[in-house]
Amino acid sequence: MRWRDLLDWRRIALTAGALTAIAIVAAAIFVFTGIYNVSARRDHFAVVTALLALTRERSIDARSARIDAPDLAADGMVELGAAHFEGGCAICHPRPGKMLDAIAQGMLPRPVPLSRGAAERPASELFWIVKNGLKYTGMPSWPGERRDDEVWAVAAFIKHLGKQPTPDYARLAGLTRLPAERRNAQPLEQCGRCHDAGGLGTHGGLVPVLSGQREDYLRRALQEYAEGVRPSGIMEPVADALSPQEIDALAAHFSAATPVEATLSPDVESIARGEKLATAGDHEGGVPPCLACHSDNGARMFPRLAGQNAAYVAGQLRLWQNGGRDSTSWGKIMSVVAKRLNEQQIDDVAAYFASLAGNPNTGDGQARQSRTAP
Amino acid sequence: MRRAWRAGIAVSACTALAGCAGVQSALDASGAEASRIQVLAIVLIVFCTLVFIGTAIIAALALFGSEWWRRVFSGEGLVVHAGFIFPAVALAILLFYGLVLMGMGGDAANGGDGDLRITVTGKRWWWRVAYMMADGRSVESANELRIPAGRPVKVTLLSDDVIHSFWAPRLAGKLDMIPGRVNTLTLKAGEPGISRGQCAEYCGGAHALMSFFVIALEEAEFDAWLSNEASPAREPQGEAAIRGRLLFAQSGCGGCHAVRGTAAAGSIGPDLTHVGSRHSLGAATLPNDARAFARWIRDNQHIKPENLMPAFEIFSEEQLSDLAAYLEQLR
Repeated sequence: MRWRDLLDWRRIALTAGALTAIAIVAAAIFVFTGIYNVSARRDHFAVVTALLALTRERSIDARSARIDAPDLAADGMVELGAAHFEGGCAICHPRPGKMLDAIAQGMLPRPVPLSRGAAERPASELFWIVKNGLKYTGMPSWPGERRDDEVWAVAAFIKHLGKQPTPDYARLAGLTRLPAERRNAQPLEQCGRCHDAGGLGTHGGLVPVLSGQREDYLRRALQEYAEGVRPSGIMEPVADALSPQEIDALAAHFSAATPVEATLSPDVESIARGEKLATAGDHEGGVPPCLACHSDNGARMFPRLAGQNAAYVAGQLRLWQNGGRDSTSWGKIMSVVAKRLNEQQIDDVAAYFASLAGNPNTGDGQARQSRTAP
Repeated sequence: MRRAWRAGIAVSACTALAGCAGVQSALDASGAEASRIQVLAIVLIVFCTLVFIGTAIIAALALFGSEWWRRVFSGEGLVVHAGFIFPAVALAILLFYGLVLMGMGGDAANGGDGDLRITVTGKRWWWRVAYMMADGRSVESANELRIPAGRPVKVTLLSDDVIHSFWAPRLAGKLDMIPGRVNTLTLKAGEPGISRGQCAEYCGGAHALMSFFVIALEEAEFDAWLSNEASPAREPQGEAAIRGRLLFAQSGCGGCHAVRGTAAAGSIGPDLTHVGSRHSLGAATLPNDARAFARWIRDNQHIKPENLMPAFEIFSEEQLSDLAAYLEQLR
């Protein structure tokens, strides 16, 4: 009857207890002696690497399953993502067609080249990884809270790489917008990679036009980015690196610059509806006229909107609706108004402001006349 | 012990009586319709009290009285007389009396001299008040009803968002403001004075903070007030007020508010042309003074949560006091 003895509960408990004690002691020896080599020179054991990879993939898969991608082919998405990649990601990830940077080569795990591997993932997985980062890999989470719109631009760029393995990266990232000798120069020149400068318009419609914008507003925006009160994964790191003198100089420079004439939306009806909303508001919906604040009569801290990119204006209004811009005292005012707009009103009013002449001396002047006319 | 009892009764009686007076008491009527409602209420209360006492006496006699009383009550007579005939007759008389009494309101409305029509529109959570003058002009104000004492005034009640209810207890009964419907109420204040009213139909989070004042004025005083109210805003005097006017114009206030005589012509929020002369701010939520203006501009979402005005936290203390100085002198 030996098998009966084996089933005796006391024996089972004793054996389990002994095994647990041995395991704890072994684990303690493993941890406290420093026997495991955490050096990035040597990879994990193959089984550990496989287990980590499986855990990572399952986690990404499970957490990105319910994410729906917006239209990644929308105006300016790929350009915005590429330009941010150049400034924020190319520190570690190799640029398309280039080798891994010598420093990044020493990372474990190595940053993946995006045209291979990463671009094959579904857009929702790319979005999740760029937004949340990956523990113990060196991949950081996105700096700006509630800026999914920016994260999607990066995902759009990576997906674009998958479709077009050897893209015109220098053009997409805005590198060709700068004269060769200035590419690594002062912040003023770096802005021109995305924003309108040197006789060029903006790098895609999602980037705001800065030329002719009010100096006080530009300074406020840069200060809010630098202080981390206006969230943006793209602009916060840029503004954070600027000194107060540089912020003043940039604000003065762009406000004095002459905007480039943008291409107009052909939808005349939409522009007319937008003009009505901007000049008279929507009494039923509780929407005051935009020009009550955003005209040359308004306080200097309010931005001018005449000549602004339609995609940027519409994108920011939707950002306000999603709560992404109500963390500043100025943003709180606009947040109330933006939440009362419907989808069509957002597109109309964006088309209207884009249709106005961007030059401060002519643009708002016309709009102001029609506002005081009734 | 007995003395303590007496003191207690005296105190509670005083408290109860104090509740009958005040600017918002239906038991302290000062208007024609409210007086009729009060008479009707007292008649009904007295009648019900008499019936209650009678019933109690009959019940007591049936329980503790002599055999003779019990014999009387056990017959069919009591049921027929006190159970059918008396209630039918008494209720019919009271109904007739009530209809006649309340019907007088209609006569008064038709008899109104038609010179002055007031439209009150319920908003979330304030009152838009428009005075239609004899010459066809409409003068807009808010959160306050000024009426001439001694003559009936026809008040049109509207709403364009949710159901509100207009109730000025010292002047008249409550009447709902229903979107898409036009209701009419006739107010007649017996004598000059101030009374308070409020929204009497739940209309959202800040419903309890949606009140107003009714100010009855002597005829001549009312005419003077209305002609001032119809005039454009006065020019600000003093440096602070002038700075305040500039801030008001630059900060987008005119997108929602009108100050007649300036570029500010918004119609989403209350007309502020003569806001400084009103009895209260924020629909009888705050007193009308400079400090309340400053508080409202910056902290209105704390004072009246979810009201439709954004909180303007962009102003410094100096800017707030300049704005308050400007608004306060808009009388």
